[in-house]
Order: sequence, then structure tokens, then C-alpha cells
Amino acid sequence: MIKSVLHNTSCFHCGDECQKDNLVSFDDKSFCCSGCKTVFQILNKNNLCDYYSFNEVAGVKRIENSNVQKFAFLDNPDLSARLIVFSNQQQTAVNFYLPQMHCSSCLWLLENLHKLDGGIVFSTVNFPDKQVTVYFNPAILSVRQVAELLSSIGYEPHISLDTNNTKQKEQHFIARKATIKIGIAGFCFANIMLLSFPEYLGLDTLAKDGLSATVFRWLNLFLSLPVLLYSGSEFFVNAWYGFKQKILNIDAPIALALAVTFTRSIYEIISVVGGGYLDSMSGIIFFMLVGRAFQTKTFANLKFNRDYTSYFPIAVCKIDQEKEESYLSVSEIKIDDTIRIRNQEVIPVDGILIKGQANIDYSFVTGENETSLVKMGEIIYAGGKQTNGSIDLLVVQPFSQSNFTRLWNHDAFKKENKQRYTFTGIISNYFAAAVFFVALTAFVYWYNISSVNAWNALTAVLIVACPCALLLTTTFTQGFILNIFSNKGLYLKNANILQIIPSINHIVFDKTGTLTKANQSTVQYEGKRLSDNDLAVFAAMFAQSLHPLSRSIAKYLKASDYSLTNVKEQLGLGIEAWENDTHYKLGSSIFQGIDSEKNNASAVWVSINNQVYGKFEVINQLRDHVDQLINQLPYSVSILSGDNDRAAGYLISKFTKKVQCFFNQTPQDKLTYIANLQQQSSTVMMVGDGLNDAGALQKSNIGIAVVDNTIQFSPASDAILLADKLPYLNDYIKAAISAKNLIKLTFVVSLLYNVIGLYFSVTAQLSPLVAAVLMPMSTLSIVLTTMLGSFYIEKKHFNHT
Amino acid sequence: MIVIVFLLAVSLTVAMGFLVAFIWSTKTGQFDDSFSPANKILFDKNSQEPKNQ
Repeated sequence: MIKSVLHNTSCFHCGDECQKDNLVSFDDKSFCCSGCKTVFQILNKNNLCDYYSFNEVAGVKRIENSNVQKFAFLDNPDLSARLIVFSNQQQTAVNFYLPQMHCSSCLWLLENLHKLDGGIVFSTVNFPDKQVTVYFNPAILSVRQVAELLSSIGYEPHISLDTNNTKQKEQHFIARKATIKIGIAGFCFANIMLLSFPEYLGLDTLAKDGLSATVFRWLNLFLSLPVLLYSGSEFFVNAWYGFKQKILNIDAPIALALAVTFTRSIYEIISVVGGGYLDSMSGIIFFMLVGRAFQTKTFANLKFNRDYTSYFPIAVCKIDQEKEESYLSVSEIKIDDTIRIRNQEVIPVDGILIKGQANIDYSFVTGENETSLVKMGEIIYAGGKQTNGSIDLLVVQPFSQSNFTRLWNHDAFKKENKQRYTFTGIISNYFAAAVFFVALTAFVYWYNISSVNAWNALTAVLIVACPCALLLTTTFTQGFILNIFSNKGLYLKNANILQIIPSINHIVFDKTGTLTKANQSTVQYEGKRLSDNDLAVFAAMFAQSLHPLSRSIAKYLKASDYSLTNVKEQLGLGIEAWENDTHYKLGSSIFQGIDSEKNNASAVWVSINNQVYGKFEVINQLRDHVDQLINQLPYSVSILSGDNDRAAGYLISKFTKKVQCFFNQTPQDKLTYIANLQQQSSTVMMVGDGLNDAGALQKSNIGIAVVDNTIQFSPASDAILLADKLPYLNDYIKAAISAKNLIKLTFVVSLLYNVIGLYFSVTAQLSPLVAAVLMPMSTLSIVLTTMLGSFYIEKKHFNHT
Repeated sequence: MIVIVFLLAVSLTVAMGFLVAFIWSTKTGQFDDSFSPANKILFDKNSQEPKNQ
């Protein structure tokens, strides 16, 4: 820690390392960019610098030069209405989603917004949802101004088409219901246990005092009703749904065991033979619910079910005949409207370019690396991002019918149609069959001796051999492993995914953005050898130019100190130089007069005395250690890329194993490829990042979206992986395999208890005391084994991180 | 020993009260956010009031 302070200056605001050339100083403090400085100035002026005292690295980097018009659409009351939660003459409350929120400093600052602006009355933060509700005076401020105020201190609200509170409310409702179910089950279980003590200790003493056990038993029965009917209802419901689809899921034998236990207990209580097994029954329900809750870890800051609508802007700037700008919701845009797209905005509809310089970045949608220059009158497709000033478009397809949204009409998106049978499902089937066999054998054996004992034995077997132990081992192990994974940067959508990971045998990677990173590039030269002197001249020429390609090539060539005497730069085309009577030229193929069949935007051709020598190409480099990952993966690996095959040589040279690479793949191609693999009975894991992978991610058995940070948009997937953890993918897979083995092992442990219990029940001597001792003991030992096992798995597979 | 039955009734009633309180607090969303309230209590309300400039 101290070391890093000595060598680098970290930004006072956001804690990032300050690069020497953009270091900004203010008030004896260093900032990495002027954005961070501005935030500090605002906070300093308003005496809000307490912000920095709660956490070491509190600040959120402010994105500079972000579009000043970005929130202009909020001036349209129809559009801002969906953010407003409450409004009257004196006060308006507006709800914003701020994905940047991460620590107690954020919480403090966002609840002190009234100190920043007098128009704000107060604000409250919902931390898990990363939302802030701002109450402001509509006479002083507008919704747009509140959004801009938040942006000015680094918390830019994220507003998208899928901003909708009903979904969130529904999730809250489900989570609360689960908590209440556990609460009730726990309450009743504890009380029943307490009331069962006379039963355990023998009723003779009580009977002496004239107190019958009936009171305790009927109280127990009364207390067990909410456990069975409310808390345990989901087992019956799930079993019924499974039954209707002709599937015997794990809930079916559990529901049967619960029903048998309850019926027998009622019979015993009514006929005054015994107290039944209500204590064990409610205990089991309680522990199983805890286990299920434990493995249902929700990540509030991650969204797994995003569709393309959340990638698009919520509103567009429309230009009417009088050249007036107005903001409309994307869905209201019609054919022949003129819309204005500003720098860094995503284009929501297909349109013809009619004004401005379009340089569209389609990388997220198609996987192509280079931005494409569009000529006046050509079509620009929805999903691209404008990167060069503002442009005007004439709409040719409305939002719902744009070329881009068509992919989402594919069947893969229609429903959750992934065929998923888990191995616990398979085990539970065998288990159920075995239990029925044992139960019947015991019944037949006892029936010849005494019919009462036969019924006792039958029900006792079904009670003891309830596969709840199997459910407990699975849920607790998965809960522990999910926790470990999320600490290490892999977030799974649900616990079932964990059971599918061990069965994969083919991994498909997307290239652009997944294996490579946009701003990490390497340069390769192809052509005739250049002499050292020529190379030095070219290096100096590259260093002269401000063009991004030239800059990266100059960096690669390590610019010489050769000083050029006669240089001429033609903007956007190339540079010429005359040195020692030699004419050096570098630039695009057009500049060199070469007929290149592909207009390769990232190649720079060099020529000496009008004789073409070769070309420098900038290729996106693989992320660090990704080549090692692919070489060590014990599965078939394919790489699909929407990009051209320029990088093929570079990619193949990096891998020692055989990797199938396919280029120029459309999103549909990727989906089809996965489907073909599955038809050859492969279980496929797809790793991708962009919307162009969305179809493949859906189709694959496990789709993993790679993101640089959790704020970033990611397509719908089964899991989200932080990009810097991608090299450890194999460790996650290995850990998932170990987890499967752990479940098997723990299951064997729990079977031991079942065998002991079966001994008592088959011999028709299962007393409530034996059942009451066996149940918590098996539960505790299962939880303990899975916990220790999970720690071991973490140590074994993740000791490097 | 009949006093046990009486005690049982009392203890169950008290416990039920807590159960109802738990259900009410969950339903009103008091367990939804476990981060903010725990941290808010640590903030000094009046450490730095804005000075009039």
C-alpha cells in the first residue's frame, strides 16, 4: 500500500492512478482528470468534503465531455413522467437508478443533496437497488436539472427503456414472502420442539400430576398447521407442477414424505397412541427453506435478463420542419421523421444519413472492430454508436421493425427453453425408487406378523427416507460455492447453473471484446523488409501524426529521434516525407493508389519512391493470460468473430492447441453454430460480451457474459464474469466439478443417517425421540461437511487470487 | 402442575406477538436494505453545516 503511494500519485477523488500527462492539481491535491477535480470543487464549495472521510476511495469518476444535451429529453413531461413517483404543487419526487453507488460515502453524499442545491428538499437512498429518490421543489428545479446535478458529482443516472419499478416490486415481494415463510417455520419448529419435551422424557410423571399429554399434542398439531400449509406449500405446488408435466422432481418425494408424516401424526394424536413426528416434520421444512434461501443469492447490481431495450436510449431528438428540436420516446418515432443523433449516442432506428459525418461503431452489435464511415444517403442500422459529432438521419424503419430487433424474434428468446436436467434430479429418481422398494419390502414382511406394525413400518420408512438430506446437501453446497464464485468475480444467475458446468465439453468464445480488449492492441508488419534507416524515418513520420492508428504504430516502433526536414500530412489519408532524395509515403490504400479488395481501415501501407513495401496493421491484442487459458482448457474450443479474418494469423499463432476460428460471423451464424454443436450432442458453454452474442448466449447450455465492470450493459446470460477474471475460467469449471463431487460425498454421509433411521423404522421401533435426534444431527453434519468442503474447494482452486 | 398449561398459554401469546412484529416489519420492507440504516447511524448530522458565503 505504502509502496504504491510512493511511486504513483493516486487521484484524491476516485483513487485511480494519475497518468503523468493528465495529472491535474488543485488545492494541494492531485486528480487524475479534470472531471474528478470538478467534483471535488463542487463538494469543497458546499462543505461536503466529509464525503472523503468515510472511505479511502470514495469518489466516482466523472465522465468528462459527456453530452450536455444528454438529459434534454427529460424536459418532455411524457418522458420524465415514468421517473416521477409522486408530485404535487410543492414537491416532486423522482426516482433515479445510479449504478455507480458503491459505498457509505455515496450514501452520505446522495442523502445530503439538499446542501448542494436549495431546490432539493431531501433525498433517500435505497442502497441494494442502487436507487435514489429525490424530493425537490418543482418551482426551482426540473427533473432534467436534478439529473444533471447528479451527473455533475459523478453519479450519472442510468435511464433506459426497461426502467420499470413493477418488476422490482415483484422481486421484493417474493423475497419478503420467502423470509416470512422461514420466520413462521422457525417459530413453529422451535415451539413444537419445546412442547415435545414431555413426550421425549416420558409422560409418566405428568400423568401422575393429572396432566394429560393431549394438551401438548393438540398444541403441536395446531402449531404445525401453518408450517405445512403455508411454509411448506411450495413443495406441494412444485411437485404438482412437475407431476402435470410428467416429471418426478425432487419435491415430489418430499411432498409425499411430508403428507405421510402429517397424516400419521394426526392419526396417532386422535387415537391417543403417540405424539407423531410433527417436530421432525416442521424442522425439516424449516431447514430446507433455509437451504433454498441460502442458495438463492440475488445480485441487485446485476441484471441477467436484460434484453436489447435496455441498451437503447429512451428518447430521441426529433427535428421538425421548422428545424426545432423536440424529444420523443423511441417508440413514437415514425418513418420519414428526421432525428438527430449526438456524439456517443446509440442509434435506435434504421435511417438514412442526411447531415453530418457519420463514423459508426457497430462493435457491440456485430463484433466488427473498426468503426465504419457512412456516406451521405446511405443507411445506418440501429444499434450502432455515433463517434464523430452529431448527425441527422431520415428514419426508414421504426424501432419495432428495425433490422436489429429482428434477431430477437428468434425462438431462442421466446422462452426459457434450455433443456436442463441436473444430476441431483437423476439421483433423486433412483433414491425415490429405492425408498419405495424398502418401504414395500418392510410392509410385506410385517404384514405376515401384524398388520398394525406393517402400516407403522411403511409410514416410518417414508418419513425417515425423505430425500430432504439430498436437497439440503445440494442447496447448502451450491450456496457456499455461489458465494465463493461471486467473491471471485463470477456471478451465476441461479444455483442450477452450477450443476450444468461440469457437463460441458465445448467452449465457444467470441473474439471482439471478450478475448480481446478494444484499447489493447498490437502491431504487425507484413511485406518486404525495411532497412533500419527507412524504419527510423517511418517511425518519425508515424510520431508526427495525430491519427490514432499512427499513434499506436509509433508507440510500437518506439519513435526514433530522427528529425524530419520535409514532411507533408494529408489529413485522414497519410503522410509524405522527402529525406536524402528518397520519397517516403505512408497512409491508406487509397493514398498509395493500391487496389485493395477489402477497404481495410486499420492497415497503414508504406512505400518508398512509390514502390509499395508492405503494411502495418493494428490488431486488437488478446487480454492478458487468455492464450494460456485457452491452451489449458481440456475441452474443444471454438472462436467466433463478427470481425474480418485479419487477426486469424495472430490468433492461431498464440494457441498451442487446435482452435477452430470462424470470422465474419453474423449474430445468426453464431446461434446456428451453437445449435449445430448441440445437435452433435455437445454441451456448449458460450462466452461473449456484446449484443451480437446474445442469440448464442441464449442458445448455449451456459451463456457467460464478460463485462469490464458490473455497471456495464451485458446481454441476457446465465452468468456474468468480470473481464479480468476471464483467465481463471478453467478454475471456476474445476471448482464446479469439485462441488459436484462434494455433493455426492455429503449425500453418502446423509445416506448413513438414513440407513440408521431405516433400521429403526423397518424394525417398527421408530420412536419420536429417535426421529427428533436423527433429524437435527443429520442436518447439522451435512451443513458442516458442505461448509468445510467448500472452504477446501476455495483453497484448492482459488489460492492465486 | 396445571400452572404449566397456564405458562404455556402466556409464553405462546408473547411469542406470537414477536412473530406478528416480525411479519409486519418484513412486509413493510424493513429488511430490504441492510446497508443504509447501519451506516446512516454513523454519520454526524451537524459536523459541517454550510457556511453562508
